[in-house]
Amino acid sequence: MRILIVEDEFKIANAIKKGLSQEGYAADAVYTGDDGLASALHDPYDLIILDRMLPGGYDGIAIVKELRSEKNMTPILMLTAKDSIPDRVAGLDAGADDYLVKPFAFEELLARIRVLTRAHNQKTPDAKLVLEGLVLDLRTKQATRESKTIELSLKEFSLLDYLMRNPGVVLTKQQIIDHVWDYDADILPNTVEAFIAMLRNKIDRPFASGTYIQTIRGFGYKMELKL
Amino acid sequence: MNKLFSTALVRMTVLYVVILAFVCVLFSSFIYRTASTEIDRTSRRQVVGFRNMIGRFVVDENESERLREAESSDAKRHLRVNLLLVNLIVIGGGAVMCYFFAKKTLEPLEEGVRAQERFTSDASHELRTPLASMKTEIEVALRDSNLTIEESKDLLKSNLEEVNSLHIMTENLLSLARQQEVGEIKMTDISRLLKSIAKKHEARFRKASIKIVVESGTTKLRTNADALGQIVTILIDNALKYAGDGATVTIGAVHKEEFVIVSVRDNGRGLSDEEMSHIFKRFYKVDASRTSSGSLGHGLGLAIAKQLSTALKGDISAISGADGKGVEFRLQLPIV
Repeated sequence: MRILIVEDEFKIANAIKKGLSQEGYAADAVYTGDDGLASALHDPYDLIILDRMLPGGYDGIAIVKELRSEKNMTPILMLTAKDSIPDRVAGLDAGADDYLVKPFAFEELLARIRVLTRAHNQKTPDAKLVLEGLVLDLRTKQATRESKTIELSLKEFSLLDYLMRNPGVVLTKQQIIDHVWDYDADILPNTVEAFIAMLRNKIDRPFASGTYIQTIRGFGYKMELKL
Repeated sequence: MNKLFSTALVRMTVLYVVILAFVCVLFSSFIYRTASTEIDRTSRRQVVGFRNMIGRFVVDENESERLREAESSDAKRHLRVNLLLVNLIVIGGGAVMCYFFAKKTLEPLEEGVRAQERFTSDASHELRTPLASMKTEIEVALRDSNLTIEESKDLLKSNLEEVNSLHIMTENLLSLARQQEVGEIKMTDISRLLKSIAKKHEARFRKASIKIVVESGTTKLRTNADALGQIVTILIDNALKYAGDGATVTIGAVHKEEFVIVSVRDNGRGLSDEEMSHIFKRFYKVDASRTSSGSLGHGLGLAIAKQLSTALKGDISAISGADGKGVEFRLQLPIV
């Protein structure tokens, strides 16, 4: 899950980036509205955390409007230090999906991110991804198969999270890189293969009841239970 | 327009119209009474006169009485219609005027409320941003199970910066909120005061390779040295922030008629007319990219300077430098 942070306060932006990375999200921070718009249009982010007041040409509202008019429907969580009702309404009406007033609790930010990125196939309300017999708990970052708990590293968790959000879809290595690693990560397609192999060792190999990660030769990978 | 004010406007208009209508009705009934007595009297006198003239031809006493009554009731009806018409016009026209009058009365109130809302919104932004920064940094650090001593120290340093910023802002806000009362007024040597302030800031100026020049003759004035010093310090701080490295800041004082004009001038990038019109407003900040340090205060300095200069019975203004470069602040103080 890759998140873009657009916030002109360096400290806030970097603290959010750090906090999200600790949670296994790939996060990029930019500090001006112009950079924010350019990044949001250029890279396929899963969520944008957008400050309302930004110096320079584009402020938060202008960015939301521009993205929506470009048919970019990435969920947007707006941050603001202004909490008057008209301010909030203006943000939501411009096309933001949620609104959080500074200062906020980081726990709440995480919860709202989980809500905004809730997958369509996520049937359970308690922050879990389910694919046939495989369950991924987004809070504890553990997977469960055949009632066995599987501990995952942060990166493995992010990778499995992305795969489980796109069941039955062929995902290229580039797509996986775009959604699981942040901009600063120096990542090669080989690295993706290595992480896929590690993940297979944990969720597929030890079980006799079929495999979840399928290799599609020449294209990439697909998440699907094959007996 | 605010909903509160549109309801107040309607209420006030209605109240004014009711009062107006009451006065009109009172006035009209008085006129009607007086006029109808007058009509009765006149018609009776006419009948008597008429009878005297052609007395002998009148056979029927009742006939003449009926004639008189018909005539006077006709006149009264006429009067009623006219009064009603006048009342309608007065109340109708009055209603429109009442509306505009009420609007005019409410305008300054509404402007005040709007200014208050703006202030609250700006203040909340300025207070919440450093708090948000601290809160997020601390929470994220606490969630990190591998936090090192080094990282903890960085966190504390960063938090301290925010605390200091909040401290300055709190002091500034309190000084704005307090009813400004200047201390003892006594004869002050302005040029000596300016020199001592310049000296105090010398080190900071040297660091930004900004030159400070004091141009002042022996100018004396009965004023409060602390308040004046505070204003000049704010102006110098501003110049330091916005003039840019290598600039020259000139401070001076001259006599002009019954005023002493204290000026702080820089030859930096200057301000646009748009910026110029806002700089004395609370929380107004020019674009961050234009400051030499890249960082900004809270936009309260000049607002405080303005308040202090008012307390000194003076007036502060900003003008663009001579060749469009830099800004000159002028503090005009009356000689008493």
